Amino acid sequence: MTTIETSENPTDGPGPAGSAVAAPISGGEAGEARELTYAESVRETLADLLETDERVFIMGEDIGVYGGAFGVTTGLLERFGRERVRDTPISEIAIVGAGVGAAICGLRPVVELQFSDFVTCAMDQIVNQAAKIHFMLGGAAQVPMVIRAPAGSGTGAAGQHSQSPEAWFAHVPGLKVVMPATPADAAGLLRAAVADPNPVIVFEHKLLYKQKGEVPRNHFVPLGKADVRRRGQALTIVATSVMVGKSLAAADELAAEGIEVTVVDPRTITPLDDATILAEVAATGRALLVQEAPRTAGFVAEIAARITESDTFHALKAPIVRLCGLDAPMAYAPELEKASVPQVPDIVAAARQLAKGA
Amino acid sequence: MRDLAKEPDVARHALETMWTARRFEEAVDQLFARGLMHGTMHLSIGQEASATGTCMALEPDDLITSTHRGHSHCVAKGADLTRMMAELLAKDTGYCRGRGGSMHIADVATGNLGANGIVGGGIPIAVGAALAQKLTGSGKVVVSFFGDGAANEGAFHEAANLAAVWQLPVVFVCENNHYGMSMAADEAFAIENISTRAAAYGFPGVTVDGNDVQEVYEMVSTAVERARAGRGPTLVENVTYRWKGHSKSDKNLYRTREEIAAWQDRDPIVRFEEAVRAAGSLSDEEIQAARKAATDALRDAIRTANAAPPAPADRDLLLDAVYAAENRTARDRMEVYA
Amino acid sequence: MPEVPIRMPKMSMTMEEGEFNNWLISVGDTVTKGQPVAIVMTDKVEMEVESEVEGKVTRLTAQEGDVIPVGGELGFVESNEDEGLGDLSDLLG
Repeated sequence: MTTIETSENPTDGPGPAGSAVAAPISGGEAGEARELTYAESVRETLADLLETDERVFIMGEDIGVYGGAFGVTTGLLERFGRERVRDTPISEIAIVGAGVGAAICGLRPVVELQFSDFVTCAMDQIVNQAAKIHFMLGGAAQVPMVIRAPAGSGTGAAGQHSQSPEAWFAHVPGLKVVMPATPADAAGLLRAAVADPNPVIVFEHKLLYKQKGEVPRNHFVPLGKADVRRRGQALTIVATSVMVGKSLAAADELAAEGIEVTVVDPRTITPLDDATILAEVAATGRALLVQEAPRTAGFVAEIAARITESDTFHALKAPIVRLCGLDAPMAYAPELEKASVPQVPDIVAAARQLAKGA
Repeated sequence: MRDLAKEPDVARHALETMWTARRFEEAVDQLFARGLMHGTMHLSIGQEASATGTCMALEPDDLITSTHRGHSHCVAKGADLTRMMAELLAKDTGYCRGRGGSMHIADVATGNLGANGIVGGGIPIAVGAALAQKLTGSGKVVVSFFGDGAANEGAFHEAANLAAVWQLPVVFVCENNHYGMSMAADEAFAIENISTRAAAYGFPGVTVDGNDVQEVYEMVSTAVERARAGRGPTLVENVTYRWKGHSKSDKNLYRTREEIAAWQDRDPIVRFEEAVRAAGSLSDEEIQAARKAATDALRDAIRTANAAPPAPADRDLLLDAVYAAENRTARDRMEVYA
Repeated sequence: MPEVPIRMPKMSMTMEEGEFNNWLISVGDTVTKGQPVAIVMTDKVEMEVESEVEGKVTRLTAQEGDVIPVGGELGFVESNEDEGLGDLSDLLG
């Protein structure tokens, strides 16, 4: 068992003898890239963590025998056993609360909520307990727990199984929130989340689970660092989760018209890498912010505020444009569902208009 | 099973613990009444035997989670009085550096995972702590303190069930003091004894005279032994009474002076003193000395705590306190694998 | 035996002062711990002030209509408790 350490993210205190704390790789097993689906990437990362860090265990509804509602944890029960891969009753308060208690006692639970929408059943344990314990206790305790949840629409699951609630948690000091948009980021951000001594919520968009991508071995992506996916002079798109891929597809279409755009994926919602976002917006002077979640008080409103309250305001050549989900619960019928969130043609149209504005 | 009244050192410890808890609450009552403490306080005067009997049934490195009415749990688990008092006085030397106040005092180093401002909020956390003990094979047991009011929160039910199905080393100690805030327990429950709820989840439950420190000690000891042996949770319902209102804003409109006086006549600490006298383990002087030791300890704590500087109103410090840093040392937090 | 003040108590999170209404006891009376000794008004509500000690009432200084801040002295009791916490003033610097 190799102990993996770097100077960028030192291990947080003495870990169990012979076991590696989840930490970024530097040298050692070079990050050989393989093509994996997003779900496979998450699964492999969980397996690596279970293998190398005996503090890690996973629990949630149907994650064991069933392999998780979206098959992400398939095979983990057989490999790691019932003690460390725990199927739970349908008890979100107890699932998250037990995660809090175990984390305070030094373990690293990765709990799964079956759908992001079910966070509401566990809100007290997330918001009043996990997020605040470190602060309220004057630093005497930590809650290094990760909550993973499949989020987003597109599967016809309707209003109570399709939400993107990142804004609720971005608004809670003490939590960290990530939305990996690629299989590589799913692995890298999960490793960083488990290594982080704070509670981290990972929203994995359901439509991304089958998406394929290159995933380096032992990939580690630090929290709080945005990714600039492409650069162009016409405008800057900042997009989250499934909207990153849609924005890149839109960017290809726009490129054919001679409009080259920058696409930035924040990756971590909080703490936000606003330095990168502000720099990329300043470079083009036009910002198009894209999210799946409903418009009002959605997270990109925070990004818009940070742009306008900074010096980047003076670099703006046009008002900031937000492209968001409708302020409506997610409908069931497929065409209604599609119409409720930004699609590639919507992004193309908005970008074209923004690029051509005076 | 030891008889707490019979062994001099044990009896002295029980008396000093209960009197210290009592004097602590009386001090808080006075200091609050004078306008020296901010917010509100939820006093546990009258419930000392429940806290003390329970904590005496634990090993020093066993764990507890507590409630908004948690000062006596904290004292009984061995907390530093000065740091407790300093927290309530909003000093930087308080357990939470002035950031938590009465409802969030914790002493992680002595196994007190914290009071909680959310009724029932600590119960699932206690179950998680118990899960950690089971996974690491530590042999430690967790006591989850909560009140009658909390037994109606969803968190209690989910946590009790999970503890049962996973056979976790947790003891649920329900301090039934007959009232939530103003709602009488007999209006909030269709059952007579809260302990019968344990059967619904498949583990034993027992109702105890929570003002009899010996009975509490015996029942909790049995439950702790069960838990430590890997046989799962128990619910111990300590029937007790709080002399003071729910909080400092409580006008006691929901109960009578006569009811309060009747319970005050059956002071749990005075009862134990009588048991000690009957057992002949301590003399009257020694019993008085135990009272005095508690008073002196409180006076020292108040003097020292009050002299400390207040928590600084530094915005950067506040922001810095929100997230734990990557490279914390193990010294300040629980280390699972020693 | 120490003379311990009866003080205007803080009876809610926001209370800063109270208006004194009337005494329920007289100089020379023996009071018990917790016994109501006076009525004060705060936020238009009448509240009872309780004695914090057992002892003999020595002086009653507050009069009807007096507006007294939280912690202010209303009267005095000669406490016959030698094991209670006492007044605490000597500890508060």
